[in-house]
Amino acid sequence: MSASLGAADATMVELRQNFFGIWAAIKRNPSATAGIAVLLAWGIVAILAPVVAPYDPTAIDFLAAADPMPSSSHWLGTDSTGRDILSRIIWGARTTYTVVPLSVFAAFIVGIALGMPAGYFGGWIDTLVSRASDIMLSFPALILYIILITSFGPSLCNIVIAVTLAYAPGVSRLARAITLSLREQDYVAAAQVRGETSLYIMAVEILPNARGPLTVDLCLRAGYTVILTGTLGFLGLGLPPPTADWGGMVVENGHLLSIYWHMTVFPCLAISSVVISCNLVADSLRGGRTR
Amino acid sequence: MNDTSLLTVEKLEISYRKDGLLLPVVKDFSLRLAPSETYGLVGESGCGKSTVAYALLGYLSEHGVITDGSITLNGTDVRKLDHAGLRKLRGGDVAMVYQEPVSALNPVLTIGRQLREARLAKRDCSKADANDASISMLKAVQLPDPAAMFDRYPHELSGGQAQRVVIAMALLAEPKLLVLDEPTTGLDATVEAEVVELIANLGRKLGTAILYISHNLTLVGRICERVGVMYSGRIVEEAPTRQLFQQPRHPYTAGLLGCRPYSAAAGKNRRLATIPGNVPLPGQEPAGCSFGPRCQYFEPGRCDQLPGPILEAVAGPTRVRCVRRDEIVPQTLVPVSVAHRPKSGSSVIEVEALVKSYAPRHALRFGGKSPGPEARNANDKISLSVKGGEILSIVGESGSGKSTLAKIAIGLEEATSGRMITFGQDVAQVRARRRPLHLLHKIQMIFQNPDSTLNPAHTIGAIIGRAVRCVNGKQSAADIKRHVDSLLAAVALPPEFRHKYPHELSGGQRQRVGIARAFAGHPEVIIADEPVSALDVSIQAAIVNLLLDMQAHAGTTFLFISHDVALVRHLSDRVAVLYGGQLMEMGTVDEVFSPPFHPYTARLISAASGRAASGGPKSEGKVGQHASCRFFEQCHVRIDGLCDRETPPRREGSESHSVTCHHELSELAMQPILVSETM
Amino acid sequence: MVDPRGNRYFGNLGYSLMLKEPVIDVLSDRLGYTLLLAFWAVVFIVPLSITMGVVAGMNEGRLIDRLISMTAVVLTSLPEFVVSVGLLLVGVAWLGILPGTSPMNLGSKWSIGTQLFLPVTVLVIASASYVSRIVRASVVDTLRRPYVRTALLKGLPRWQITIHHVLRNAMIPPITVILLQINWLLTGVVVVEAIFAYPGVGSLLLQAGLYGDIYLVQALSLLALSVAVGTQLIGDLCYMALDPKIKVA
Repeated sequence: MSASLGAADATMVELRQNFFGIWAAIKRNPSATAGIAVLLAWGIVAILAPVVAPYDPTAIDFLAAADPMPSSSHWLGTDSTGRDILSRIIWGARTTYTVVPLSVFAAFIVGIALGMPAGYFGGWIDTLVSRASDIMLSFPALILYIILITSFGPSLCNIVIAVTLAYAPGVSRLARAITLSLREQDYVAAAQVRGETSLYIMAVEILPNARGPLTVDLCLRAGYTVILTGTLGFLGLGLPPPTADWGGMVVENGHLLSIYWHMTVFPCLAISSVVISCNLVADSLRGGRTR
Repeated sequence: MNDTSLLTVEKLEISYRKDGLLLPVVKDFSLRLAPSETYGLVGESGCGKSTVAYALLGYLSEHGVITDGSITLNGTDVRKLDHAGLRKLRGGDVAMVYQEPVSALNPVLTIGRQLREARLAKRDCSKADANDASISMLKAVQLPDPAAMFDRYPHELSGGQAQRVVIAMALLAEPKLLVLDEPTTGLDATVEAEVVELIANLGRKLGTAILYISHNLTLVGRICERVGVMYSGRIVEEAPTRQLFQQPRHPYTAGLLGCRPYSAAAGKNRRLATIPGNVPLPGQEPAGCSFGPRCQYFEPGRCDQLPGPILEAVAGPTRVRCVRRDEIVPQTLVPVSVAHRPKSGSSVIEVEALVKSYAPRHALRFGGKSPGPEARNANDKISLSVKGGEILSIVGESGSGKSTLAKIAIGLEEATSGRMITFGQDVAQVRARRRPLHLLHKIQMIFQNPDSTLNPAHTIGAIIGRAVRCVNGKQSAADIKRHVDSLLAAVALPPEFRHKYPHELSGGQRQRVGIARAFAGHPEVIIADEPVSALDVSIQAAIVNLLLDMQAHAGTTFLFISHDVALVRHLSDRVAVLYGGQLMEMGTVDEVFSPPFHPYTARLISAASGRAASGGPKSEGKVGQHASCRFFEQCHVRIDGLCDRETPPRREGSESHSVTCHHELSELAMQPILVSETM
Repeated sequence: MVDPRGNRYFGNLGYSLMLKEPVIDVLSDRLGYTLLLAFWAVVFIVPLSITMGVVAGMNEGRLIDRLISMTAVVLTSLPEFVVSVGLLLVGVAWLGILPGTSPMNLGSKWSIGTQLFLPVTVLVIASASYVSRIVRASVVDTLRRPYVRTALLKGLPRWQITIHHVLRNAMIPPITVILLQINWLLTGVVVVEAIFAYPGVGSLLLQAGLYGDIYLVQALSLLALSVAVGTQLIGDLCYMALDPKIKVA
């Protein structure tokens, strides 16, 4: 046990490394490198979807549906209506890589825009923002989506809005907490006494120093969002069919699991690979520690 | 000597693993300690003194390895012990007291439980016996009401109390050797003096050998019979305390002694002697003597040759690690005299009956002891004036309100009532955000903590450049660059530093950048909040000199906030003494530091020489709240029924000197002051 | 899943005539099943995650820690429906020893125990992997605290350090997370219930939402909020009991 003790200064070193070398931290960790590689690969696939997909993802082919198992013409098989699984997974990557970045960035912009002033100014702004996010956070996220999406209908825009609404409170809470501790730093005081505006202080003095924890949170939330959009698709609340959507593919073919496992398993693997990669990157950034 | 020694360390070498390399941090370390001897190990941060302490208990962090040498404690070889052996050793033969006592205690267990555990681990006795032993030990460390203390939790204790508990815990196992690692760092000076005295007394009474590790030579001199001075992982000089102080034989020891602000020299020569340069990082030591590059007696061709010097005896028990040990008698460095300073002018800041009170928090709250409904006054009717061009020091301990006063002046806090007139404008209740820019730029601040004074996300050039642009308005990029370079030059940093990030700088260098930033707009007043308290002794002196030079050069008014009485005495024109938010005494340096004293000033001065005031209540009583004199609870000359009821009058000793006390000045002049002979 | 006619029946009732009573009836009925599922999930989640987290944390950096941590990262990354698909594939399609759905029918050929097995397992995998990571982090953090060093250098036996000094402190932060899991088990198990046709609150919510049964959704939201408030309260009480620094003044 004594081996794991007494390394308090190692924490500091690690923090500093997180800070000044996000890339260095990732490079030193082989599992994080693998994670980045997988995420980049899916990104390229998503961009090149029209080029690399062997079939039209929505083309129904009853001839192929007669024998949907993987074959030389359909590497990952087809679904019950003869749509090529590989092509649908490739186009599904495009769906994921549109919805997830859009909604996560929107959540971060809203969350930071609310959380930083709350932490910096305190007072009634803080009370307002904190109470509002407490209420939002105490409500199970999935209920929120179900209510939102069932009332406004499943479209790209509504899904992005739903994710933003659900994640922005968490992001704002984090941004507030970081701002709260950073505003006590002497360099912030120095900026105040030389007459900088509050906006300048928040954007130039505080925000760059919050990027470490915010990046970790971004990676984690990106992972959750992949799960979430998959789950929404799975519950029939995702993008309307016939859009290729990994979660949707699982539910479309779930009832055939015992006969045609490939229809379900491959999209499951696709989702899992993206989420695991996000989590591995997040883990390496915070030095293998969960908080 | 050999047979009777309790602890024998021979040629110990300890290394840290870093990036697959082994970097030695402690080298050729030998030490002999007789039973019940007191030995002080002195050195600056990073010299390896704490690593040695932990090695004695067979405890190194996962990166540390003992690469050579031996440690024999009470006849057993510590390096050869297994888990069970180490358990027997720790707490049995050797116990340790740490810095930051509050975090060394488990927050969820009562004090009593943790004390009892220490006793039971070493002694076969019943719980009740262990409880009794714990309570009597709490009594021995002079904690008030030991039985009640037994059931308290660590967070209910002050820093000084927690350290007494940790000392009690260490002594409960009746160890033969007590290792104390900076046990008073972070405590107020008056509390520090009391804890040090307690350690010295207990050591004497129980016959425990003491290894006292500190960066503070004065403190070590107070309790230790012998002192070893460490530099860059090696002992460079070892001598009986009196000899070391009277005639240091190693240039580094002489330098350390010279860096301390000498109260005797106050008023004559404000500059401090300095040791140039920085302590080398592990793995970057120069060949030969590692002190060589900073040494004024350095002789090329001898001091920089391998192997480096070895620790050899000169003059009786004194041992020195220096090639030129027989040729030189290092002198305490003589400081260069200060440039002519302009005389003080008319008042630039006028503080009148300033009050800052913190409202009590909500009724339902978590933590804290007394949710008293009354507000706490951090500043309580403070009145003083700062004159142009002078150095006014505000001295006091934690909770005295000195930082609050500075923050109100600079606009980081607003006062509850009263007036603070700076350059003709009352800013007591105006935060920086709402102050006019021209006023803001007239007052700048130098901050305490070198780790947080510079934004880690920006380069030095960007940090100073922004300050230049902010105060001087629109300028071309070339102008700004020139200005930044000249500021860097003024604080003795090379221009390449423009491209560095704060984490690439040492603490002292960061503090220099902070000073350059404060001077960027030629402010008329600089407020320096403990600007050197986080720095090593040898660096402190250089920064103080820099501040004095820049102040003299620009004629800036200085408001110097500090807890360090010796330093304040050294550099100030005038001094204000604060306690619990009240102004206790105010006057020129000579007036404040010579009788008549305020009772609190008297206590501060004796604490500065490592002495606890004899008799009277302990320094960690509550700061009086209802009492009219805040110092009432701890005052050794208090008048019950008067001091706790009525506001003490302000007694004028001269035009510039005033003491706020119920006693007549003539009575106060009779107080005894304890000053250590080592000062 | 549930017969669409039944769904409409309850929905219509909520809408028009005697909306209040049936909503309560439905809720109490479904809540019973949800409590059953949550109970068995918690019974496994808490000991499992604490054991895993503590073992990994105490052996930080060793092989066992890396194995546990890596497994935990992978398992937390898997969406519930992916885990369900995997388990269904193994337990139902290949081995044929478990039922594919869990409608909690007493009359079915599968016993209640076998019907509960898969939903509980999915919940345990999803939740325990996450909680164990929190526990591990807390243990690692506590081990670095100076008071653990104090205990070690006092010469205390190792078991005493582990139990009184490390675990006593390390268990405080994960409480929040464990309570959030309970929160989720009581109102948020939508996916698992939908997959296994389990008659709990989660699948009810999904149906109500899809159907647009505003009163039922409203009642369920209210339930979610009261559960959230309740667990928060329990959390505060736990903190008060465990952390002497926290006392209501």
